[in-house]
Amino acid sequence: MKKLELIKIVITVLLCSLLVVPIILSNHSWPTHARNYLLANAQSDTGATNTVSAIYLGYRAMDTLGETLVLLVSVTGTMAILVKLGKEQTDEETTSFSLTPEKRPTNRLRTHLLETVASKLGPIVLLFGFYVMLYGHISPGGGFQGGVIVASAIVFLALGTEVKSKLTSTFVLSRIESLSFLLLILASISGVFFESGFFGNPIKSASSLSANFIILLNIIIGLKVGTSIAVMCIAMMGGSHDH
Amino acid sequence: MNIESLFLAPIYLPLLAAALLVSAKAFGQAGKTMDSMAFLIGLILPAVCLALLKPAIIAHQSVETVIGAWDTNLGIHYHFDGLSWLLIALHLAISIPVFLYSKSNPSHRESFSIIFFIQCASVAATSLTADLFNLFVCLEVMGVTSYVLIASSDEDGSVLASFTYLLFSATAMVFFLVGAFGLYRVTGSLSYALISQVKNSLTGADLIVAQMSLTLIVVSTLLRCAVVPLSGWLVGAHSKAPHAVSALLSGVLIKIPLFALIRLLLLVTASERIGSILAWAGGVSAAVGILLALREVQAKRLLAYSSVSQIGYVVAAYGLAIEVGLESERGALLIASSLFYAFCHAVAKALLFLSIGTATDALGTKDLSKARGATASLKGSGERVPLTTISYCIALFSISALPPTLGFWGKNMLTYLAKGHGSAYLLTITSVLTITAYLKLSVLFLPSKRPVVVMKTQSYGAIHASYLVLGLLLLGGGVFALPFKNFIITLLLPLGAVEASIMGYSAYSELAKTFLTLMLALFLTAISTNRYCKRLLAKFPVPKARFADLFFGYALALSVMAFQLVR
Repeated sequence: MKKLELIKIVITVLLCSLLVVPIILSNHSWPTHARNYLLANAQSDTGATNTVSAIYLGYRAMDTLGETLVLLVSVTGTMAILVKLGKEQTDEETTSFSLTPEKRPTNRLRTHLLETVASKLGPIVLLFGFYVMLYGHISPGGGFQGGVIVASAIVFLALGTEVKSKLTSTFVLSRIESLSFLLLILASISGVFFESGFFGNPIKSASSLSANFIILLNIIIGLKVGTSIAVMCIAMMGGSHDH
Repeated sequence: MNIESLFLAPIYLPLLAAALLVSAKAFGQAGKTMDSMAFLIGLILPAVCLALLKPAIIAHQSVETVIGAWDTNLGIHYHFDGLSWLLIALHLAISIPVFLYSKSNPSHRESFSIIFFIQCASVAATSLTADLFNLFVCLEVMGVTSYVLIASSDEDGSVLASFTYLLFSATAMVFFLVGAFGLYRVTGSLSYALISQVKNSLTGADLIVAQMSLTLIVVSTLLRCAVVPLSGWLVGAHSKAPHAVSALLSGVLIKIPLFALIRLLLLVTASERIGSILAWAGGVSAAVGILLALREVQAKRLLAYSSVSQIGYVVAAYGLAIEVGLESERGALLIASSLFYAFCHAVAKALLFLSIGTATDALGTKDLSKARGATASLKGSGERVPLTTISYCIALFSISALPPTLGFWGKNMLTYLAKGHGSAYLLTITSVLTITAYLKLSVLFLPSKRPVVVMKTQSYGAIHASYLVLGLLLLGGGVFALPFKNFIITLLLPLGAVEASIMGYSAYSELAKTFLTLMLALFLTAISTNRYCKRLLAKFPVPKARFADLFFGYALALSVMAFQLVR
């Protein structure tokens, strides 16, 4: 039976690669239309110096909305499964690394070394995360990248700080997450009422800052991504029982 | 408000409903009021928007728009026409009653509704999109919502079933992405309109790249439709999911990707070869699915196998339509009958999953060899009018193609039009076996000699409302089948044909055939209850959703299609 399975796997891999290899090895010249257009018009169309932002929050913002939804749904699903598993296994295993007189929820993997480093790094990483988020339209970065950095900063803070702060409470974080998701949907719909259509820029003429809509979307997506990943990480560290 | 904002409403309104629910949940304000408001915004308002758009699509108006109003073809194109209108209408017709039903289950908390609404938006987006990468994103959102909804079931093994589906479909989506890359590489565009312009001038190695890419895209999308040999994931996923989710997944979600694919297939030069493979795959799916259903002893798994079988009808007619070409009259009629049958099956299967789900919950078992007396148990648990049993009977009539239901018209028209192709024989055999399989399922409602089992008592208000909507759709559709059919034919004409009508045909002329089918099925049922026959059936190997088998099937489908295209 094992042998038969092995043969199946080999045939599967061979057949799939037979189809994929011609696509990878194609020596067709790279398409230039999109590149030329973006070089000439991206900045004037969207106001963003960073062309990547111009693509993912401008021309193809709908795809970005889809990816944000994927993230939202997978975080919700993960949390649900974590809750399900939490119900089943009541006795938590402790590791030899954790400090003995611990009362905080995220205590399982903590050591003195980790605590010292994480508490010092946390605020700096948080600042850097917001920088990447806010300057996404000019320099490499943007909402997703900045959001992930913010999330790691929150994880550092959850690991490192002595006192329980609002920033590391899943209760507060999930409120920010939900509000930023609502804002994202409202921002995408608002164009419907301003003649520019779904996902059109509703504030195009309203301000002197031409990349205004991209900056707004970057901030909203950054908050959304940052908080949802942070909530998930804190829950995985066993810290979601505080509400 | 312009027409673009109106036809995009089925995308953004459910998202708004989901966002409101997310906020309400985080701020502790969730409750019945929030739920009803979300229901209004996310499901009823889009239905109103569709109704407003009806005059436009009857006038064969089709609109192509770029999301965000960019003045370039780099943006994402959405295409609104009769097909997308019908697909969204199909989804709404099922999801409204299913949402009502889901409210009867206390274990469905806010997160269930949130994901439900996001799925609604993704279905609408999949029906509208005319952009390759956006299709990928829409399918991903649709997939990830399905995984989470399946895993939200309390049943044992639901997480594993969802995980199997996730791994299989996520791997296929990687190949989809490779295909999108290949097509972009040789055509320089992601929008269907521009791909089709360049497509005809391709030669040599570039043509092979385009064909391989198309194969990867088509097969990965067909995986979501669960055509044999890509159907291994379906049975576990759809039978372990909560009843409401099973109804939605089996009813609607396996059909939407198939019809979304049509826009892409229309661009292809050698699409008739793909069509011929699909026609055969459909016939084989129908036969294999029902044979597996016949030996199944667990109620919801039987329904899931039957879904594989019924999607076979839809795919067979769809493939034949592509094969003869949508610009011909027969092609136009076939594609209309395919969508018509998709609608018949969606309503019937949703009603079946809901009624059987409720009945098995009341009985406390899904095992067909033990479970009896569902009507009495339901009565014991608080159902005053035996609407579950009545709904089951209506759905049974429809799926077995017996008059006066919608399914009678749908299935007979489909097999009539498919005549002449080899897979039509497979479909006819399947019609007989379908009745046998469902008669086997009906033992649930036979009276039991044992004392009545009462698992729990509950209120049946919301459940009955959902039954009523679906049941009336089946019965009313049966009465108004002819105008409904002509409506679908008219809406789908812009896909290629100039004129098509099916005036000379009435399903009543096949009443004799229906009677014969029923007699044969009864005869087979009588035989199959025989001891020896049962033993023989039990000897067939049980197919398991092993990864090696799933991927082997995928690779097989890929190679067959690639061979046909390159040949």
